[in-house]
Amino acid sequence: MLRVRNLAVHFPTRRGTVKAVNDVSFELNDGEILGLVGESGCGKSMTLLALMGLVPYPGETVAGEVRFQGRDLLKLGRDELRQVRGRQIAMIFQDPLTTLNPVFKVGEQIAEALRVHNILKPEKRGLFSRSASGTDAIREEVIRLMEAVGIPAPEQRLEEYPHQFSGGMQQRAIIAIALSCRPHLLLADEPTTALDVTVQAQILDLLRQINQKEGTGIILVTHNLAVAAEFCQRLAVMYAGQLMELGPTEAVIFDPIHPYTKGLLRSLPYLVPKGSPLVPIPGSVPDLAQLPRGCPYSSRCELATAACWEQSSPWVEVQPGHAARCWRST
Amino acid sequence: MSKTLVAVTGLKKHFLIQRSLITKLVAGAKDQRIRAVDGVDFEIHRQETLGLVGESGCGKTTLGRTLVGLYEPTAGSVTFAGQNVEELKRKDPLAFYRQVQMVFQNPYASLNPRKTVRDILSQPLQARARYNPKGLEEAAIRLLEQVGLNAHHMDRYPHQFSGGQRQRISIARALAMQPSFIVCDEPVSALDVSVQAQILNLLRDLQIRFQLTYLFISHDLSVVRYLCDRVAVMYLGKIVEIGDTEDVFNQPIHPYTEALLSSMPQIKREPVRQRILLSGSVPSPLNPPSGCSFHPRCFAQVGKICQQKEPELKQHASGRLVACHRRNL
Ligand SMILES: Nc1ncnc2c1ncn2[C@@H]1O[C@H](COP(=O)(O)OP(=O)(O)OP(=O)(O)O)[C@@H](O)[C@H]1O
Ligand SMILES: Nc1ncnc2c1ncn2[C@@H]1O[C@H](COP(=O)(O)OP(=O)(O)OP(=O)(O)O)[C@@H](O)[C@H]1O
Ligand code: SF4
Ligand SMILES: [Mg+2]
Ligand SMILES: [Mg+2]
Repeated sequence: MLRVRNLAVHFPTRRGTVKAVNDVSFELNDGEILGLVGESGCGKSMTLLALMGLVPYPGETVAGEVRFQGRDLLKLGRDELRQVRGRQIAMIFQDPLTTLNPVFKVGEQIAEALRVHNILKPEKRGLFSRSASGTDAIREEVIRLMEAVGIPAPEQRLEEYPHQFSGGMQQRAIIAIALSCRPHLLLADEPTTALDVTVQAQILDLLRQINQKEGTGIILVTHNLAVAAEFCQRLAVMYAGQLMELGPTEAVIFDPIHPYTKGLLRSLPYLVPKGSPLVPIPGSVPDLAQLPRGCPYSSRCELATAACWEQSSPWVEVQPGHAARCWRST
Repeated sequence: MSKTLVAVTGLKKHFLIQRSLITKLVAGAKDQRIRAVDGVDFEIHRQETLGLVGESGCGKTTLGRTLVGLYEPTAGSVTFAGQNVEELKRKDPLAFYRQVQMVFQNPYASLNPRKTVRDILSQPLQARARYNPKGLEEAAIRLLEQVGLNAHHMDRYPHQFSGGQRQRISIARALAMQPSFIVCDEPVSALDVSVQAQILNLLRDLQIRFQLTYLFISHDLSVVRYLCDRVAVMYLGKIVEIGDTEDVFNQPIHPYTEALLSSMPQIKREPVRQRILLSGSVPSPLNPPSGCSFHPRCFAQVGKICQQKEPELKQHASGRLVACHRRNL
C-alpha cells in the first residue's frame, strides 16, 4: 500500500544540521496497522509529516521516495499532493486541541472537511440522492460520521463548540474529520496520549473497527509501547531519527534484536517483577545536530564495539520480516 | 508509634467560582461550586507508597495539595502523625512544612528559571537549619549526590538540564527539608520511559534510605502496580476502592475499578482480558449525579438504589474498602 525508501528530513540550525529523520525505510501492507514507536524527539512526527509533504519550515525532506498507489508522493506538485491528502491519506495530528478551531461549531468543522474534499456528489452516494439541497446531504453525512465515531446525540452536539466537548469527544470529532474523506490510509500521531486510559481504550477500539470495516491502513505513532504492542500488527522502533528495528509485534516485544529495543523494554515496569529495580538505559539521547559517526545508540549501548563507534550500522534481516540496524546482528 | 501517618476524615475541598454581581442580576447566573474532593476517608501508613489513580479531573491533585496543606479543607480534617494539620499550620507552620513535601508533574514549570540549582536548594536548607556558607554548600552537594547529580551542576539554571535531571532537582528540593511524607503528583508523566525508570528507582531508593511515606499520583497504571503497596481509586471527588495493589489489580471489586483496569494496555503474551468500554464521559464535578456518582456509566447497577443512595466506603473481604451497592462477591 505504501512504500517508504531512504526518507530524510533535515533542519538547518545554528548548531548544524538536525537530522530529524535519517534514512528511514519501511512498508505498509494493505489494511495493516503499523506502529511507529520511540522516545520523545526521535522523529516520529516528522516521519509522518514528511509522508504528507507537511514538514514545517525550516525543515526539508532532503531525500527519499514515498510510493503510494504507484506514485512517488515526494515528486507530486502541490495541488496533486493536496488531492491525495484530501482523498486518500488523512492525518490525526499530535495535539488535538490545536486541530479543532475553537470559534466554529464542531458540526461546521466536519461539514467544512466534507466540502473541501468535495466528497458529497449526490450521484455518488445513493443515500443522499433524494435530498434536494447539498446542505441537507452534508448535514446528514456529518451526523452519520459523528455517530460512526461514537459521539452521542449528534443532532444536538453538532451545534456545540469544541470547548463544550470533553477531551475524548474532541478526539472523536477529529477522527470524524479525518475519516470524512474515506481515506485508504490514516496516519495517527499519538491519537490517545492526552486521554484517560478508559477513553484511550474507546478510541483505539474505534480505530480498530475502522481498520476492520473499511480496510483503512493505519500508521500509529506512539511513545507508549504497551499501546503499540496491543494495537499494531508490526512495530517500527525509532531512535535518534533512524529506524532501529522493524518486525512483527510479537517478535519485537518478546524477541527483540536491537539493544535499544531491549533497553526500552527493560526500563518498563511491565516485565519486571515487583520489588526488583527497573533497568534504565544509561546516558541520554544524542544531539541530532551532532550525531556520532557510527550507530547513534553507541554511546549508550553496553554491547558497542569499535565498529559501532566508527561506522554506521547495517540493516540486517535476522528473521524473515524481522530486521534491525545493528553491528551485533550481522 | 501508630502505623498511620496521615489520616483523612470526611475531607472535602470545593472551589467556588464567583460570578460578578452584574451577571447575577442580569443573566441570573449563580456562583458555582466545583466539588473537586467531595468527602473522602482513608489512611496512609508509615513508609508505604499509596497509589492514587482515576480519570483526569477526578480530584487527585486537589486531594494531594490539601494533604500537604497547600489548600485549606472545605470540610473534614487531615491529621499528620496524630495531629490536626490546620492546627499544626497555625501553631508552627515551619515544623509542619518541614515534614511534608510535594513533587510536581511538570519539572519545567515547577522550578524557577531564574535561579541556579544552588539557590533552589539553599532556600529550603536554610529554612530548616542555620548553616555557614561552607556547610550550606556541602549540604547542597550532598542533596545533589543523593539524587544522582553532583557538584558540577550547582551553578546551572533549570533550562540547562534535561527533563529527568530537572525532576531530580525537584526531588532534591523536596528532600532538603528532610520530610517524612512526600506527595508525588505524576512525577514521571512528562518523562521518556528510559528516564522514567531512573526516577522510579531513585524514589524507591530514597524511600528505603530515609523511611519516606509517599502518596503517588499517577495515571500510568503499570507504574502504580509496580511501585505502590496499596492503591486508592478515585472517581469524581470520592474514593471508590482502596486496598493492596496486587489484590486490587487481580480482582477489582468496584465496577469503575474493573473498567479502569481492563482498559490498561498490557505487554504480555496471554490474550488481553476482556475490555469493559465505558459509555458516556466523566460527569462534571459542578453537578455530580445523584446516588452513586458512577451510576450513569455503570454496567453493574443493582437497581434504583444506585440512583438514589450514595454507597458508603465499606469493608470487604481481605481488608478491601469499596463504595458500591453491588454485593455479589
Ligand atoms: N524547527 C526545528 N528546528 C530544529 N530541530 C527541530 C525543529 N523541529 C523539530 N526538530 C527536531 O526534530 C526532531 C524530531 O521531532 P519530532 O517532532 O518528529 O519528534 P517525535 O518523535 O514526534 O517526538 P514526540 O514524541 O515528543 O512528539 C526532534 O529532535 C526535534 O528537536
Ligand atoms: N484552583 C482551582 N480552582 C477551581 N477549580 C479547580 C481548581 N483546581 C482544580 N479545580 C477543578 O477541580 C477538579 C479536580 O481537579 P484536579 O486537578 O484535582 O484533578 P486531577 O485528578 O488531578 O486531574 P488530572 O489527572 O487531569 O491532573 C477539576 O474539575 C478541576 O477543574
Ligand atoms: S453502586 Fe451501583 S451504580 Fe455505583 S458502581 Fe456500584 S453497582 Fe454501579
Ligand atoms: Mg511527535
Ligand atoms: Mg492532577
